[in-house]
Amino acid sequence: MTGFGFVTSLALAYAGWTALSIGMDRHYADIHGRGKEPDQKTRNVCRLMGTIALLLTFAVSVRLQGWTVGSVLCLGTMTAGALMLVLLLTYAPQRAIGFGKLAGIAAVILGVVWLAW
Amino acid sequence: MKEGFRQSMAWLHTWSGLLVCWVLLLVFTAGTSAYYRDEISLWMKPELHEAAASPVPNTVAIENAIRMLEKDAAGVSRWFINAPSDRNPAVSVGWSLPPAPGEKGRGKFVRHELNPATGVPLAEPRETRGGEFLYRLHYDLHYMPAKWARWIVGFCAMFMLAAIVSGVITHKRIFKDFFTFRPKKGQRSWLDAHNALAVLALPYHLMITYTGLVTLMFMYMPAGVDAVYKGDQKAFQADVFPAAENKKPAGKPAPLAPLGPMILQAQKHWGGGEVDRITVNNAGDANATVNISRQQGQKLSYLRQAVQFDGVTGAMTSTTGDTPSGAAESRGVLMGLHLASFADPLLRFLFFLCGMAGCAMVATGALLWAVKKRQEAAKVLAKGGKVGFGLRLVEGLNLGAIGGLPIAYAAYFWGNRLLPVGMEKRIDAEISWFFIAWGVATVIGLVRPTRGMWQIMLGIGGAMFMALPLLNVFTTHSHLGITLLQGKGPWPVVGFDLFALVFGFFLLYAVRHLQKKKSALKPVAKARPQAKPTVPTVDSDELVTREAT
Repeated sequence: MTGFGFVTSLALAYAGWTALSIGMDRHYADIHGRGKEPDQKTRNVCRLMGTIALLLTFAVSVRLQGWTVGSVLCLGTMTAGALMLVLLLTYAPQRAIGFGKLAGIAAVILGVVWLAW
Repeated sequence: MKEGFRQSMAWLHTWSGLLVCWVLLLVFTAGTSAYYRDEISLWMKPELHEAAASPVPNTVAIENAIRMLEKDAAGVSRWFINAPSDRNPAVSVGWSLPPAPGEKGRGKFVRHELNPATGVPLAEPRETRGGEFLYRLHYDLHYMPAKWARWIVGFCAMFMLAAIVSGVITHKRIFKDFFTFRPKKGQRSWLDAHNALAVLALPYHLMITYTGLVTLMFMYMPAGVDAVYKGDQKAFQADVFPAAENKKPAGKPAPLAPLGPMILQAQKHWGGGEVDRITVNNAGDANATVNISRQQGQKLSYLRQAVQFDGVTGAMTSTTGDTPSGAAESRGVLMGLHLASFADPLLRFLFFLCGMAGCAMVATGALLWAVKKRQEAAKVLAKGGKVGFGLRLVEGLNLGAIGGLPIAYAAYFWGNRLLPVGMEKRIDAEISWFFIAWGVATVIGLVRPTRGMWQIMLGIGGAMFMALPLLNVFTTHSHLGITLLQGKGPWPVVGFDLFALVFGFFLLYAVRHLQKKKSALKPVAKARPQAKPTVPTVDSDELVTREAT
């Protein structure tokens, strides 16, 4: 089922970008209120989680379509995920964390369904 | 370099981008639509919609085609079958008739699209170039020799490449502003949008521009080939694109071996994979040959494998494209990335999405220049000066390109539905609808580049796109009511109609957005003079002196 696999990787990319953005000053302040800054620990955790999620996006894409086409698919998925996040951060920044978590959970569930299929 | 590195790159980015942005917008929009050129062609031939809705396995379609050929094309020496693919469900057959007495060379070429399920030729569809026109438009332009057009497009693509690289260098906050878009802030919003669209789809923009240049590299950079082959293009072609030799007919009749086992043998040789095209030469002759090529499938490179057979014994004689050289494969991959024929529906959509991001990047870049200059001009205007010719020209061309192109595309599709099916030179008429609509829009844009005119143009474009599915109700038997609501398909046609609705809606939303901005601006402008007296005049004087110190 490529459909499940694709949605998994899209959710992973979205969640990954979300984690990376929350660790950044501007978006942290947009979400938590003006002037708030993330502490070093939050920053590191966000970056680590974001990086892992994006690496997983790549892994899922490669498993879906092989090393060559999979790499192309991974870049496209990451672009799509990032564009969605930009829209959310612009118009509903306070929802970003919730949606990011939701995407992360969805990725796990869909990923399991996809692998078990 | 009179300024710092980054400033000079900013200069390069601005001017290399601005100079070619309107041609680039045409190339980007046409190229992006070409990802769906088969689907657009299908949409533009409503006569084929019914057959497209009932796909059958390839083997069945090929068998049906062979049966049709045996019946209708018996005695013909050279013929081919194009197998159905995921995107083009029809199977097509063709053959060349024996040359008429007194005529030299090959005879007339006959081509039919067949219903894959029955092998019966489909009703001749209306004359249209469909998506093929848009595909050609993106590198051959129109109304000029292809060679000139390719040089123009190549020139623009080279500028685009320079603009991308210099744009990345000049974008200081590329990581800090990665996800940033701040709406309703005038120039800042345009810059944010331009940056986000450029950065988030950067791999795509770089890839498509570079590989676009690679597709025509033998034309743009002929020196290498000339040096090695001393101008012998034929020898070069034979080396780079190996093809099976065509034997001359022996003149002795011999029956053609059955094709089925050959197809199986070819597939066994490839280790799976679907057949793309079967070509038979000298059928019925002792020197008959059969060439079977493979569909590209999930491979980046656009180079195709093929297997040749002896047409009488059915034995495999040679193969091509199994082990391409490193250079050929590299070029094949770069070409393949540009054409994206390996992409399944999901990946194709992502390519399309990135292509649209590219269109929007070019458009926002062009607008950004005008917005910036307009702000500078506002000061000049306040002093009683005039808006410069350059700014006026750019504003006019922006309106003509960004506001006019949607109208042009919509006019092309309207022309397809409204022009009488049997009319003379129908293909040219459809295409002229595209250019007349665009030309009129550009002239109007140049004459009156105002906010109201933006609203009118975007409004017309939006209304024309949204009305396309409605137009289908009156002009075809495959409108959304049947294809979507009754679930009869074909799904590419559904997709086209839905996209037209969404895109049209988006344009109309832009009109509304402009309206809101206009009404939001007015009260402020009115309120200002009233607000002024409340500010104590003494204070403002004080403020000035304070600031000065």
